[in-house]
Amino acid sequence: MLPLWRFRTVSDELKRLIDLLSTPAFSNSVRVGILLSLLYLDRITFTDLLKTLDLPKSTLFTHLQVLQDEGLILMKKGLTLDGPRTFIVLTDKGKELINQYLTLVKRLNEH
Amino acid sequence: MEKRNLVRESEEIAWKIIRRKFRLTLARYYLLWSTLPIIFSLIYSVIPYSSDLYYVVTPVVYVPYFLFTTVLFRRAYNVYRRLVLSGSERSISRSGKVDWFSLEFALITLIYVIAFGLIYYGVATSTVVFTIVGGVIFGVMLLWGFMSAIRLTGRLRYYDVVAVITLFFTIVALFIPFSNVNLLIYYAFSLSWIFAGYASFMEVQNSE
Repeated sequence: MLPLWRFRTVSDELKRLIDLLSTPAFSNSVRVGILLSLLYLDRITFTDLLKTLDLPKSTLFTHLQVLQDEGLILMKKGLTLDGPRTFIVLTDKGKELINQYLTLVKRLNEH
Repeated sequence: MEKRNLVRESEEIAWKIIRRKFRLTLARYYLLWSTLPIIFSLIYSVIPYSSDLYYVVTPVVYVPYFLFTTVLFRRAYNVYRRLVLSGSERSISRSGKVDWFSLEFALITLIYVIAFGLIYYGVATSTVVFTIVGGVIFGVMLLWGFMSAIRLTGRLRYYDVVAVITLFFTIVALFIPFSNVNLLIYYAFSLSWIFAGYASFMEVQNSE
């Protein structure tokens, strides 16, 4: 059984995680998955995401639009060996929030 | 419960994206190195074996291969370091922070260069011990890097196994006197790595 002060901490962290998961960016597993992968891959192309996630183009674009509107990602055009592509990168705010999410999940996993 | 599912599903999605990127990296790596024996056979058909020019051209040919490999694997190693070496292979949410990965990567590159230098010095001066030591270091490092990359793709495929086997024989062939057997091994390496590259690309395409 957790001591009262630990129970409060866990309860606060759980509340913070639930609050975070209630925001438009974090309320959907595809969007969180994209943010998590971006944290590790640094950047990814729209085409790569489209091929991996097996979603209609418009659906994926909507997910990315939500993340961009929240200021968590940036979409920019660039050239690759396969031709012009749209690159998706995390913003500083995106990095901060996804790290915050990971910390909260990690702490709650430990309890 | 719903939130817990969201956390789990998002992790699965992230892994799916990461694994696809790794298989693509591996496909490029296979195709890149598959060309090496072909390039060498073209060069050696013009330059006589054991001539002065042979010792100058051989290391120069390796340079773009190592450069491309470094570019391909630097980012992959970064991800590997964060996810696997931190003991969080199965859970992104439990991963640790990255420290010193650039330094480690530089150290690994330096070990490759030293190993290659030993092989080259051993061959150039006919000092077998240098060639063997360099070859063993080179082989172990190559296999380690290679197995690490395969590990992050999620599943070991039969074409990965074939590629590892032909890589092993290619390294062994460096230590035996040049004959048609070596040629056969080098061509087997080229063909199996072309196939592994193609199959890896196909795997990525079919996972759409």
